[in-house]
Amino acid sequence: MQFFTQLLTDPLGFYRAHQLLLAQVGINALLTLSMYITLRAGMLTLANVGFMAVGAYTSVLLHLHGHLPLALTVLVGALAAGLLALPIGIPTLRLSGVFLAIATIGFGQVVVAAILNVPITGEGRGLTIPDASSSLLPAYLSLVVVVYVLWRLRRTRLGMAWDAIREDAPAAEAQGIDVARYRLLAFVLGAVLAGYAGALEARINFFIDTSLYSFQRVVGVLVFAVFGGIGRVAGPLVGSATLTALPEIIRFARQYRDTVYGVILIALVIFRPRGLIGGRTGRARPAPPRERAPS
Amino acid sequence: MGPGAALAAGVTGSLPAQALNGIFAGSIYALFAVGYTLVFGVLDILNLAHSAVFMLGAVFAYGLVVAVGVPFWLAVLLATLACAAIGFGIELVAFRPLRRRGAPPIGALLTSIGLALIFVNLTEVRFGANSQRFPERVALSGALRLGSLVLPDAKVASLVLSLALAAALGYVVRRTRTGRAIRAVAENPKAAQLMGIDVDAVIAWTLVVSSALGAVAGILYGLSQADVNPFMGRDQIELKGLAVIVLGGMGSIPGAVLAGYLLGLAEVAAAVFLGSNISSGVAFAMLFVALVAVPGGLLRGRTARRV
Amino acid sequence: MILQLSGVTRRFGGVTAVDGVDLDVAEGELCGLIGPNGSGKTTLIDLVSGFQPPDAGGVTFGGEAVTGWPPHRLAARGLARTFQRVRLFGELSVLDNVLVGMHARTRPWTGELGRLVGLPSAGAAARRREDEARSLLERVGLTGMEDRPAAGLAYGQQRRLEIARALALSPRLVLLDEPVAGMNPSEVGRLAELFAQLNREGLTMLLVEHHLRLVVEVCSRVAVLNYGRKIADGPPGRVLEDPAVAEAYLGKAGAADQNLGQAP
Repeated sequence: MQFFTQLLTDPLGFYRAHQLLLAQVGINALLTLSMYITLRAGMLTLANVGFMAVGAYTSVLLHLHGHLPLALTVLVGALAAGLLALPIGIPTLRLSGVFLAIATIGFGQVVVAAILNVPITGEGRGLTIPDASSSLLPAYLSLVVVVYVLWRLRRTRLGMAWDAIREDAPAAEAQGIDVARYRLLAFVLGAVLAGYAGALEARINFFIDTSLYSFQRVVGVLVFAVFGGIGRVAGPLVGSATLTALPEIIRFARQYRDTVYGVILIALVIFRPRGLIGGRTGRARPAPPRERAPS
Repeated sequence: MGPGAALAAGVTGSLPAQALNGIFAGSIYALFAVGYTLVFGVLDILNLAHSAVFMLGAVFAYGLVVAVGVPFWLAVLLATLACAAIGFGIELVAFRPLRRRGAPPIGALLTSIGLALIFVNLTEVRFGANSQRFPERVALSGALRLGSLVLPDAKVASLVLSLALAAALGYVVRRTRTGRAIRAVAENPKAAQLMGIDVDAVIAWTLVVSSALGAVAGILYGLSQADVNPFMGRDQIELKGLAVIVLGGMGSIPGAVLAGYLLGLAEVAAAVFLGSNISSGVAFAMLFVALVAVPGGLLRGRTARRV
Repeated sequence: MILQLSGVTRRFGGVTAVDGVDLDVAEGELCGLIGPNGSGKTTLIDLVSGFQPPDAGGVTFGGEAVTGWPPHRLAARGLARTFQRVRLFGELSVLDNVLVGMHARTRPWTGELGRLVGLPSAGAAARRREDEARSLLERVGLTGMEDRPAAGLAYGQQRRLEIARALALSPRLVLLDEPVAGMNPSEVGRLAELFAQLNREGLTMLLVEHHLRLVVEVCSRVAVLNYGRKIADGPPGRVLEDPAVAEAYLGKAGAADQNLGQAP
């Protein structure tokens, strides 16, 4: 509670005390939005954290060895993630459901393993960034732009195509929507955003190493996304902000943070599955017809 | 570092010795994966709380031996039973409510993640985050010698137990009435129900058996690695288990066993020939290729399905 | 001929679901496709609409060879279909279902950027599409339901929505897979009128149905499948009196004493 009172009564003091936390909230929001994009297109892909790592390491390495300004390298990092998403996405997106989730988890692990084995990345020791800056501006400015674009995108041909694919991919296909291409587009855009978030995150930390991109992080982003729901663009914002700040808000029970996450996740999935699961509460959805010899 | 890599890094033995290490590591993977794949085969659900149960088995056994002074084998039994009960709890809390609401399988994936978070966190708070080891000589501390090869008893036990338990499970599933009921539910729950099978009971038993197997795997791992900590499920086994069941064919018990041993050997091979750091990526590279190239897995389980 | 199938074949393991079917549909025809369960009707629809590739034979649509084309490409060329089990975009509104149906007819990127920025011309185009969607809903009798989520509609209404969505493609040919399954007689009557009206306006349709009376009423021509083979093709009256057709539906004994004019 003290957390909130300070926010309201002493915003400047709040800012100074929690600058890093606020920056992290912004980064997590961008990361969760990257997940939102693929979820809205009906795919549970868990590769975002892997692309984050790609964006972060590309950006930092270019800065350290290429001596390019961090701002530029952040963009390059995001692009690198997007480019990598193409060859990964094309074969992987043919999978669906659990298999897609697993394959994308696997991809994330391969990225981490690759980082750990290529000397230039500092392997297990990580990389130190001499001139990091914890300014909130880049993250929050980007956030505003991204949120606006995603919000406007909803009623466009692209946004509605993604909705259709999510709701019923074969029916979407029958209406002229090239499902494979639109899925790939969502995947690549999600990767770009995740890479961007990763590169920004590297910028606010003085140090990056592979522990930032563990499977636990993947679970974390998933929980953020589920918590906020994907019904509205605001969902990921609410989810990531609340859960990132949670440890600060419940300082007294900080050590139980994961338990709180777990309970929230279970409760949400059982009682309010709108958004991530896409089902109407309580109503059983008819299963899609299986690929068998039909009548 | 998984058991394979850790061993490879430390042991500079001959190739047969290395291979043996791979097999021992594989036996843990296999035992863990069998429970994992069983649940998937019957429920079409990835139970991500399985790795937490793996950890709980080891932690309970450790606690019983060290804090309560129970003899080791009794501790193993009690810990396994406790985890079996937890398996039932997983079904009640994470899966059954979703079945009642007609939720798609992804929902169960998420609730199982939630339970895993809770189990690990509570253990961390109660147990502490540090690694502990079973007391020396508590059990299986000897070793067989075969020529130049040293076979630690604990690891031999892993091998024997994993094969024996998997075989027993396979027998039950294939040859008994219970097994037929399980297969019926795996194939088509609604039809099974119409045939008079108590689907809820079958599912509950599946979770109970799966968790018991996971617990045994955890205890053996904790013993042979001399390492018990709240994150032991999370660090490596969780994702490797995933790789194994995908490679073996989701829902195939023999596939899980085969793929488990294969992974153990592949890791050791990668460590020997390519350097020990690579081996953690081996599992996932294999998994990724397998999913994209051979979606059915090595041995297509009779319950294997493309979602 | 807007649609030509020659020797189209599809096998699943040991079963030949569709066996060397030749079928021509002329422009402006309302052609029926009937046959007992398991005769391969839906598979044939899947083959024509690109959801399954034929193992042998070819499909020509509007003079173009389209064998093996994916569904979205065929849809873009004006081939629409409905599904045996209703496949709507459940969470989207009724109106949005039809709007999405127009995907193939809207221009890709100019619209996106325009909408993002708020260009008035993009807004005007969107309004025009919306008007068209509303009039399509009116045709199928769903006026007033535009903002309801599609999943909340009654079954008969859902079927009609699917038809409106198919029409949103401005199609040259519509494949209808059992559109009246499970409907009560008055609903069937309404749809029969709609089909007839659309056909009078020049829309070509291939109608797969079990409801024989509907088929007799609206179709100018009927083809019959049995075990994947076409066993009859011609005006409905003649086809239904064909003993081979009666046999297919009823078996040898039953064929002798049944009047196929009744709905089964």
